Amino acid sequence: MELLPELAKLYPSDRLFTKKSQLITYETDGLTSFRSEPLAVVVPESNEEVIATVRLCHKAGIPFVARGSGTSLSGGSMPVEGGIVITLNRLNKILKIDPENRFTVVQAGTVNLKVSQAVAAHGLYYAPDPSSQQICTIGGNLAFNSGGAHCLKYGMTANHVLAIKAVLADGEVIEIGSESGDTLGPDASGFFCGNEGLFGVALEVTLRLTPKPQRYCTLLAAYNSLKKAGDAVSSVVDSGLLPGAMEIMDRLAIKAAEMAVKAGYPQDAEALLIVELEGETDAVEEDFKHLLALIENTGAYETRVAANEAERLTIWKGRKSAFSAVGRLSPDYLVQDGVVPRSRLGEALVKIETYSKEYGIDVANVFHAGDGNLHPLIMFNGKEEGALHRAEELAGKILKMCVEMGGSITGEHGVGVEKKAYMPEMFSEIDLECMKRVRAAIDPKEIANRGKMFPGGEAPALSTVGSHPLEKAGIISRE
Amino acid sequence: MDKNITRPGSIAEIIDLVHSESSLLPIGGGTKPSLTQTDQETTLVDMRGISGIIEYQASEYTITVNAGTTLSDVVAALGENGQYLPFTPPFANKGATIGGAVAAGLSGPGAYRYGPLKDFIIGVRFIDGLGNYVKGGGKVVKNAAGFDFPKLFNGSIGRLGIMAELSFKVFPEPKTYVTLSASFDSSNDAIKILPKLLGFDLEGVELSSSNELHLRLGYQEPTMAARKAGLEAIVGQPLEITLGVHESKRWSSINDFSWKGEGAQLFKVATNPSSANQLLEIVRQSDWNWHLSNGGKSLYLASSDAPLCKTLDTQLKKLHLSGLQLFGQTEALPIFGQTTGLSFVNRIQKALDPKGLFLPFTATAAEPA
Repeated sequence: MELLPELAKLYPSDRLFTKKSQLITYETDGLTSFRSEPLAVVVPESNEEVIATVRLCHKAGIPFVARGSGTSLSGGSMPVEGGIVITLNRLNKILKIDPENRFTVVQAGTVNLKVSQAVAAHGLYYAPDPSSQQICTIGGNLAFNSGGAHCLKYGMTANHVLAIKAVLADGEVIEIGSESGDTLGPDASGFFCGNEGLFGVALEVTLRLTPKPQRYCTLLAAYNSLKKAGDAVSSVVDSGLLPGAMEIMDRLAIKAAEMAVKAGYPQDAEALLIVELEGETDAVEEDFKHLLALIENTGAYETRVAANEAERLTIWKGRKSAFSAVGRLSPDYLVQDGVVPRSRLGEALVKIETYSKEYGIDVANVFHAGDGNLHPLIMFNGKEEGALHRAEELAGKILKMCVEMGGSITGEHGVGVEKKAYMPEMFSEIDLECMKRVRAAIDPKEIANRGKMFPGGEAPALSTVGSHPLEKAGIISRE
Repeated sequence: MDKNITRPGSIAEIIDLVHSESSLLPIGGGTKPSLTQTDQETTLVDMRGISGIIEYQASEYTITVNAGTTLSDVVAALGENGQYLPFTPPFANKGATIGGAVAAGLSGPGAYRYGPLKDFIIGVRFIDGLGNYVKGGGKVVKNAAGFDFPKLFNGSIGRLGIMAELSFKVFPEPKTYVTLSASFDSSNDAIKILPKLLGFDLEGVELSSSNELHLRLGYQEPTMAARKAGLEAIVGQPLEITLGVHESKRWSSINDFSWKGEGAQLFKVATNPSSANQLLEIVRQSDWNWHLSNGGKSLYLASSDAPLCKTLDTQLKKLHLSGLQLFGQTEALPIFGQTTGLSFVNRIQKALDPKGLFLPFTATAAEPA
């Protein structure tokens, strides 16, 4: 079967792209170092068109990848060479809001932040907040089990997905999970999350809505060493408080953030710690008193408390823009999202510094300190011969270190193409073989996002093209 | 009862069983008897020989345990460090194991605050139907590598593999609790309150069949009066305070299902406040006992009437709800009502257990291998 003529029957010419000039936009995603050219891009406007496309691909044995806004940092939404890209951006309707029972049903192409905006009037929000939330879509969040700054307390995307309607790679349409969120039988919707597009395409997603906290209490503490900031996090954890977020930025990241958004951070600090408590007004304000007393004993040379929402947002603005800001310090960079046990953060940072010196490559660090999720930002100049290769080698060393410390190669970006070579560091051949059997049971022809997550297979083309255009514009960031 | 039951003491012994037996079903403390009901062909694998805490560092907010460890042991170890399993799994006082809690996908009242068990399981090691010892997930609170087997095993009722090792995220527990209670004329009136409890950090919201609403809070002396007043404004009546031993007894009694009655069948239905109310319309016309847990997310029904399951099955299908039987004689599959999601699960089961060693997710008995 010839696939393109069949797709042409399904889509009008303005929703089926096959010319090189049209395809180039879709060659890459947030991981700009990799790119590959698809055979065609389709722009469905209904579930039926997505389902029909997947069924045609299955029949023809042609690979496909579903794509939202293309913000994946692991190459997850990069096309499979010669395959079909199914863009879901037009399937972006919020189908149902049920404030009484605290759930909403959205199409997969719905932008993350739009969900929270749509339910705000009911005192609810959608908790997972990846840094690209202004543009990334729920379908992509689901496929990669995205995180954000609040995962210790609130969990990742999978904890907030109640039910999924999806088309599997062989064209079967499934409905899994329930509006309740209490599961009976295996948690199929939880398992579907984080499949990295290897099972099929989510069409409609039922999301848990969380009551907006009555009050946020946010502080920023400046330290003259990273170690002190790390120790402060330990003190907070040991005190029995459960902050919604704890973030640390190092000197380079602070400098970059200041250059980009003028957050007013103390510029002489070696490390900044942001701690945020949230919940019931009375209870949180009481807890915050304890937190402030505790931070006073951690050697912070300056502590600022956000007096109002505007000040709170300023503190966060610097943090959330830190990575796109690094673009001002370096023409190119790689960002990793490995995880170490929280209590070994200090040790991990020392090692990263050693690697950085060994390779002569600057590494800035911003991390979710509460859950041990690192974000080393490895800076290089792609125009220099072999620079990308060296940066990748350094990134690989950091990932191996994470696994050796008992952590993970990825906390929230997923494996994609970027980290697939490191899967064997974390999983044995037996583990991977078992995952492959599951994949084969769902996608016998291996057409759904072929070449991702599992080690081996064809390598995509490497390139050095600088930041994503949206990233340069400061719209998305690599958290 | 003359069942085949064996108690392996090591992973290697479990793998031997996988290779030598034709039908296996893991069992823990047997506190949810409908889930471990089998015919004579199936060998029960008593997992309590695989027990003990493997790794627990309080400052990491994580714990790794053998699947056969009793909940009471896990709860005690965490309690020494002021931490807890925030989903407060039931039957801890009755000898339930952590593996059994995961297999049943069963959470207690604590799930109201931070979410059910599935939100806290972060790693699993299991023996699949081919005798492979497989790892999924990890031991850190944040991890997105590989397929999420830990989530899949939540509610797997022993049919996808034999869990041997489990890792969880854990949280600090309030040092003391207080319960605020109110009585309503009807369950309907009480259920209307549930969606209004926005923004309150409650550790439990339970409604009993005598229409008593119990709200549990972490006790914090300086703020108690203000918080109570805030809740009274929403509930629309004065709240009665319970503290101390009486308070903790009330919640352990809820978590032991002591309201159910000796010998009664027990069913859990996944609901939300609206669908729970719809189902209670029907329940009110019968003599079934009930308890609405987790702010309306889980409706438990109990009865000594034998045909309850069939009646309930019909009603749940009409309302697009699904249920799980925990006590009483059951069909081949203890899941009933709407079961549309099982087609996907069946495809995964074929991959994990191609030989059909574990019981199927279909209502009919497995065909002989």
